[in-house]
Amino acid sequence: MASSEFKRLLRGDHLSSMVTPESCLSSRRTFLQMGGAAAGLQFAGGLGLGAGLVSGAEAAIGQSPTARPLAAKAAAPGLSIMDRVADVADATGYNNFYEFGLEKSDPARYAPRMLKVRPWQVSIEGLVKRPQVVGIDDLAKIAPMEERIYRLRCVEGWSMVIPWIGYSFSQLISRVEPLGTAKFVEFVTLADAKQMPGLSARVLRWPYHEGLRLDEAQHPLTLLTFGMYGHTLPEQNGAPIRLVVPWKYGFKSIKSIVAIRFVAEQPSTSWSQSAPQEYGFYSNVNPDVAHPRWSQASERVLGVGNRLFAPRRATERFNGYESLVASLYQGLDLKRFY
Amino acid sequence: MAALPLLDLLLLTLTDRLGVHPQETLLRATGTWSLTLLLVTLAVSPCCRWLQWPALMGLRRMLGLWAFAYLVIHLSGFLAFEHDFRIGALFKDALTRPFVTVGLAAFLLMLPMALTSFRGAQMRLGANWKRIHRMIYAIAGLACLHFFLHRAGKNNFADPVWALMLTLVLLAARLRWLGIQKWWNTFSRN
Repeated sequence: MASSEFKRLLRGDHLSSMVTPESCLSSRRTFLQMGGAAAGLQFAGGLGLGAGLVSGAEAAIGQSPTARPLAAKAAAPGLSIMDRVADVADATGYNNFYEFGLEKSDPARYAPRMLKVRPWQVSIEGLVKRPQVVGIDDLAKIAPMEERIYRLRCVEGWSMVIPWIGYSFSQLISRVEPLGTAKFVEFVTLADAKQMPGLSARVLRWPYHEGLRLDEAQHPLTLLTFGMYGHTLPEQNGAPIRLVVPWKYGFKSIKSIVAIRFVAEQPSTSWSQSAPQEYGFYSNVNPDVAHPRWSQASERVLGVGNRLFAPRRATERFNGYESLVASLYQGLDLKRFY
Repeated sequence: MAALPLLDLLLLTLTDRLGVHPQETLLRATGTWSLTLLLVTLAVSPCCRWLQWPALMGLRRMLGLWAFAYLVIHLSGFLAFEHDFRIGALFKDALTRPFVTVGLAAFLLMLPMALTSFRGAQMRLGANWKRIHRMIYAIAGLACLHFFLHRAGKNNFADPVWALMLTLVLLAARLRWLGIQKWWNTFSRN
């Protein structure tokens, strides 16, 4: 292994240990060692980090039958936050994934045994030079995996700090070469009633669909995500592939993606169809714009320390990513375009 | 028996088994139990008549007070978890969010009922006591509305619909009883 690479990994280990609860540390170290091994292989034989989908004996996370250790390098400085990471059991046991039920415990109960994450294909279509249907394992090889520690702010007024693994969605965008007419990207979640018991509830219009402006999708923070906590994604967290857009409310970070469509017009999104007065297209985290039914000024931090006395923290504009993303919205009235 | 859910919640709280978001669990559980006990309270007098079991009537006051006790915990929890014990913030919240307005109104209507629930007050207030305690119908209505507003985000109305149907059935049982009585009175006078 190149010594500079080794040093960088060591630095990554150091950073991770600062934000990782004691209970996760040993597995984190193992995974970083595996990251080192995979990186070594890459240097030796040009295998690429996609080969980092190592099947290991290490315990899966979130009772997922498919989650495997997933190697990744630490994110570039500034792309991860330093806050304490949420307990992995909380991040995999408290989920909004209505395709599996409306209770927060439903996804963990049903998704691991019902959602089939292999084979899995993603259709990339619409206004691109190279429309294609890509298998999940090929998709994972497009760019090196990075670990990004982001705060996930749910529109319901809580947040968790989660170490995701993936690569910037912009990497995929540049491969498929959008046409000049493409201005937005629409994302679609799987909707298969056989695998998803929650589809019988008419809460939202299925399949779940979300969208971003093309420049938002191209922002380096927008992460095409394959894993979390050093593993491939557990089913309840949107396996095998999801999006994480950390400056927007959590529902924008669409799970279990089957289609990515480049379009000219602003696409409709599931939540703004269901309740347009409550959820807008942008849905940037904004403490100054209250949800019609509750304030967004503060949030409860979940997954750390004593749960009953979980601290509330003041919600930050763009979820704390203002310096990185505010330029996307210059001249846009954020109160009107919430 | 009405204390059992409370003991259960207390045990779960002390052992940190309320799940990832205990504040949410506590608020939802106490709210649901308060409404449930309110409906049970409302069911007492119809059951008395149908079962011809007047002794049941003696339970009504206690059940009503238990419903109120859960409501007090529910509201205190909301005040503690969402507003850091700032009463001013709670009232401000009630001015901006119908969901909170309706819940708080139900509490404010139920407060005089609880305060005048003892026998002495009943004697002293006479006919006014009945007027105060008829507010239970309004409270049940507000509680159902509060429940609907709570679920509005997910359009998940199965439980509130059940609660509302029960409330309406219990109201209908009373109207019907009054109706039958009137009819009986006219009939017997003839």
